Amino acid sequence: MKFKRFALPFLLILLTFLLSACSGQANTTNFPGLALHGETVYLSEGVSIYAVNVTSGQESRLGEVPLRYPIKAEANTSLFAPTAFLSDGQLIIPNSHPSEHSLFSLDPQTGNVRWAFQKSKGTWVAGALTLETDIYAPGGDGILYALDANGNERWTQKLSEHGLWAHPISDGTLIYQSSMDDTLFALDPTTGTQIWQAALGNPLLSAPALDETGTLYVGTLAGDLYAVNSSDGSILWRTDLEGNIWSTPTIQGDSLYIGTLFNRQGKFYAIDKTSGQIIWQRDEETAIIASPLALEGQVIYVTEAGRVQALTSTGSPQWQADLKGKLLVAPVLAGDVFIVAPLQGDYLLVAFDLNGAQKWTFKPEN
Amino acid sequence: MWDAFIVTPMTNILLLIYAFIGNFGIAIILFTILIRALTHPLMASQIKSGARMQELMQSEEWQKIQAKHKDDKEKLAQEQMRIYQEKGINPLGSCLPTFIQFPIIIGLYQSINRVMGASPLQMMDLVRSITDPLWAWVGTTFPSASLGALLPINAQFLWMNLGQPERILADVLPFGGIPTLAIIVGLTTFVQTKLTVTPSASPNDQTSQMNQMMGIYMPLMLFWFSLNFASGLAVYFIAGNIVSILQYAALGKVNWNNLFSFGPKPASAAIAKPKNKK
Repeated sequence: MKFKRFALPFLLILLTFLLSACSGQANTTNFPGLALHGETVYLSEGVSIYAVNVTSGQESRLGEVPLRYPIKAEANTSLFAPTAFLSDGQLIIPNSHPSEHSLFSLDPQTGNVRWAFQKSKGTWVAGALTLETDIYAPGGDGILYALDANGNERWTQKLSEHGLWAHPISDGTLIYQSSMDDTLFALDPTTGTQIWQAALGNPLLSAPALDETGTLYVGTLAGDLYAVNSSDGSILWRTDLEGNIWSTPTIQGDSLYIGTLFNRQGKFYAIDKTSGQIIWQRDEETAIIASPLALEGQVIYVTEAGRVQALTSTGSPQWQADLKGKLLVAPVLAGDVFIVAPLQGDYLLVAFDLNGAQKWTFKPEN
Repeated sequence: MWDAFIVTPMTNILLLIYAFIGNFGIAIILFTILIRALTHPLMASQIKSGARMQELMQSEEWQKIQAKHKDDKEKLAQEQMRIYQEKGINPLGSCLPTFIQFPIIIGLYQSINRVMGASPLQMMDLVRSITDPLWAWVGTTFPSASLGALLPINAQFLWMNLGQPERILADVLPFGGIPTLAIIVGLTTFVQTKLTVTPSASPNDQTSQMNQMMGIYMPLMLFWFSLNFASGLAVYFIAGNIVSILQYAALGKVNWNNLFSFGPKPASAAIAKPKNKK
């Protein structure tokens, strides 16, 4: 009798948890974050950040224990945004939990948290930019936070009412920040003063790419690809692509490479970076969310269905590999291998050589 | 299937309301009212069937057969079926509408959650809903409902960011602020549960005890939910609670006396008497 009395409420609670799991809101899920530092690739996959050696595919160790943060899952911790690295060795890590908005520094030598910055009122989505010992962290509350190496605030600049979902980039002189409010900003890294802003008409989910001529290339959620002069923010050209742009274009030689989400399908484009003309395009069965990897004579992109596709620079297929899981984050080149991070796959990381041969896989020990 | 038939249409209807109203908080409230209004006939049927069942279970005839066949379950079931047929009562009459409403309520919850698109992964689902070939006409017919015009959603409503858990005085108070919305969710859920709970024939029977437990668990559960998740969901919970009370009131099934009673009550004392009824 007692069991039955409590059964319904408990079933209801169970249902609530199931519902929240379905919706994704209870435990904010996001793209995994991948960042390379020296011989180590850092994977932020939600519960933990793993440090993996790029040659062996083995988890780096701190004495007897793996170099992992946290060692055991912690409440109110969601680690998705990519790790950034300061020149003094600190790792800068945003906590993307919906109710806990801290940005903290981790000492990889000890595994201890050195400081935590907790002023942001929005969920961290993007990783920080680090220049030597300076940190530029784009907040989910739309504020760009400039901090020093001890986590002290240097300046802040409110750039968006909706949040900053892209990491800033720098040419050494200015910082460039995309915003969800359709605008690309250029800021002085010392003072945070706004130098110029370019209204691009639709939300910018990704950072711009910068070439050697000082031109910025950035795509909007509505599928417009822009070339913007980095010195004054003037628009050089605009090309409308089919689908929605989620990632930063990749520059190789005179070409830009970019993929789109075209409802359930995807499109992949090669574009002349001087004129914005489409050189060639290719259809994919599923969306292309991540930035491609472009090398001399070869371009590699990943799809939502878990395909790794290599093409020649003229768009002819070279090889392909199909993995279990979704590939939503850009491949990282590490020497003669590149690494992908499947979401909901059999492995957290898979490394290939440039001919498509699988070199290693990574799945954490308990 | 689920996404195509339930979540995507609901998401687009919610976005269409938002496109015209321009305020996401009000859009959530109107959308909740709209869905509850559409499912009202089902709810009314469920309440009426429940009341008839309750009436039947208190009848002398019912009590007699319970006592008479308490050791013969097969015979008891046969007798119960006979009475159902004689009285024209469908024993599943109160369950069926609940089962039909359930996926709609889940879809409502998921669509609100989707529209808030708090991460790139959630935003992918939102963009796909907007650009779905079956629903792309919405954006072309109403420019304010096109992808470019809709996104990003303006999540500011009163003092809240609907995409974040709500707190007031978070900068002043050391413990992270007061979760006013979560408190309102807990209170409205408590009131709604107390006012609309179906009374049981006996204060000590299983239904009565379960109702009591629900009256405690539900407000606590939704309070916890609202404490941790986006406040847009809390707005939906509050709107849903208030609409639910109004629906019961419209059907004359709200028992205001029950609000301040804290113990099991027999059905005869707890059932609200509809006005102007002899």
